[in-house]
Amino acid sequence: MLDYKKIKLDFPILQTQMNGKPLVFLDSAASSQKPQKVIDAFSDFYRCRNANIHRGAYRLSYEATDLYELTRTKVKEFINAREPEEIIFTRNTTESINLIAYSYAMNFLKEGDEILVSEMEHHSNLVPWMMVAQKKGVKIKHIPLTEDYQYNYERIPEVLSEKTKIISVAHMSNAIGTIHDLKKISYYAKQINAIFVVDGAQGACHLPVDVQEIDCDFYAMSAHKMLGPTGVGVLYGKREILEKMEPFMGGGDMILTVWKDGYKPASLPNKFEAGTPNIAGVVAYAVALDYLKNIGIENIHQHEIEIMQYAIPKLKEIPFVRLFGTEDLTKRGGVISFLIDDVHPHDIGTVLDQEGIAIRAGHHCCEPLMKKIGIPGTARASFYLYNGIEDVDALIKGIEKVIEIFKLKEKRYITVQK
Amino acid sequence: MSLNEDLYKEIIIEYSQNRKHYGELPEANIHEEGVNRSCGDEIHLHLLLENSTIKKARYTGQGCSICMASTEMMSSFIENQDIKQTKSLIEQFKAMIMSRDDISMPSPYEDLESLKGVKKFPIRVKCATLAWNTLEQALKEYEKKV
Repeated sequence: MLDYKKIKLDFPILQTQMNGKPLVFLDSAASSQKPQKVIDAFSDFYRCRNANIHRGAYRLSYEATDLYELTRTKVKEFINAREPEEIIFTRNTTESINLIAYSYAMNFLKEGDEILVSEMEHHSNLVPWMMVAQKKGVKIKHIPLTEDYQYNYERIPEVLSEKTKIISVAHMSNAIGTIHDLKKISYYAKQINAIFVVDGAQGACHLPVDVQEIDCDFYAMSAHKMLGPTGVGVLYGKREILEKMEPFMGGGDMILTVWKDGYKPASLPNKFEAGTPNIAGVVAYAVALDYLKNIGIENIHQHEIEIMQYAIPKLKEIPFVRLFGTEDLTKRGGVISFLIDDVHPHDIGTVLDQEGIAIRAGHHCCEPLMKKIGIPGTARASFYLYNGIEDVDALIKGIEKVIEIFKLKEKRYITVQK
Repeated sequence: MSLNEDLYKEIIIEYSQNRKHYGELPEANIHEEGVNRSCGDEIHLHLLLENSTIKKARYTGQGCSICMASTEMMSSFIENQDIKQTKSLIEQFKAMIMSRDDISMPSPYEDLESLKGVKKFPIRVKCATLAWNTLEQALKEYEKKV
């Protein structure tokens, strides 16, 4: 297990209280907390390095440009892309996927083509494809799932055909934590020459990513889920594909030249970065990447497995608690989606909130998955490098409090179906 | 602040777990749906109105205990009430929940006062008011019809 108590000290917010209790932060799947170094990098930028990037004819500007581009190089190394030009900065994973949908799918897909996703995807890896489907007459197909909500890899050929032009899947499910075997999907994508997109919002922050080894065509991720600032996303794309795509948004920075009635787009990566980006955010993101690299993503993943090995058996012992997600902890990240009999997830959230415990309640932007399981939503506790055994213990105490407040042990007189 | 005293009072837990008016109403002539987009609470009201009187009220859907208790209480109180009385009750309930002043509910509606605690939990106010807003909309639809 990582020395998480020491790591915790790097995160100022984890020293604070919520509702008069020490903050137990179990919502990193939604957004991670930030170490002091990242916060410093962000404010230092505005304090003494702030200037717009590109073409500024003064030191502050070209140094800001260098810092901005340094992050690009660090992202390239972090996910082992071939070259920095394959790294596009966006606002978040959602924008990265929309960029593919608009610049690639809207232009290259035609009526009758198919896009393969799954019912476990986050809305941000579903709705952009639905928009393409509506506009282009493209069909959306779904990878069959196993009973414990893994992709059923053996059955993928059933939903695959020559018409499949894009396969887009998550690296890890945000709702129930399943880690998917991207190489198996990649194998199928290559067979039919489909574009392989990975929604890496929950991937790069918890799992080692090597885009060349995965052999994906696109990998989308968000800085704020990996200790970085909000408002910074990444789209990795293979150069040859990015080059044949049209620009996503028009404006400053994305052009090579503009004349009275036309323009010529800039080369990669500027072609996809119109307008002034989140410079301070991108600069601070580099520090987050360094922090993760120092600890080691593989170590973080192992740490989360150990937390789960401690938490899952304990939670299973509590009567009234129902857990979702695979029990194979090697195929699962640090996510615990659960329900307590007869208690709505929002009520669980409110009781835990009063105990200083931050969890998320609802459909987790995965309505199709919730509908498939047959529930309106779950309560979700998610863990990261700064969480440890005592956070699990606090969660369990909180759950016991829920059971007490809702008097589950005394009365079981629900007269109508839920 | 105590959860048991302020939000999850015994009476709320009881109403939310003992839903006598939960279910479909085949003879209903007004159906109205209310959704809290941010949390997913969803109430379908089924009302039978005759000569401006609510003869029967049922509901389906799902939501948290506050939402369910509020809907259950509301359904039990509006049966056999005329539209005018009901509108006034909606107004009084909303005033109690929204107002900074401490407003009480007249007899026989005192049980509704148990929901007053949501004032201390601002994000839960919409859970308590969902059914009432849905009812208000349902009555508007009915009045448009007749």
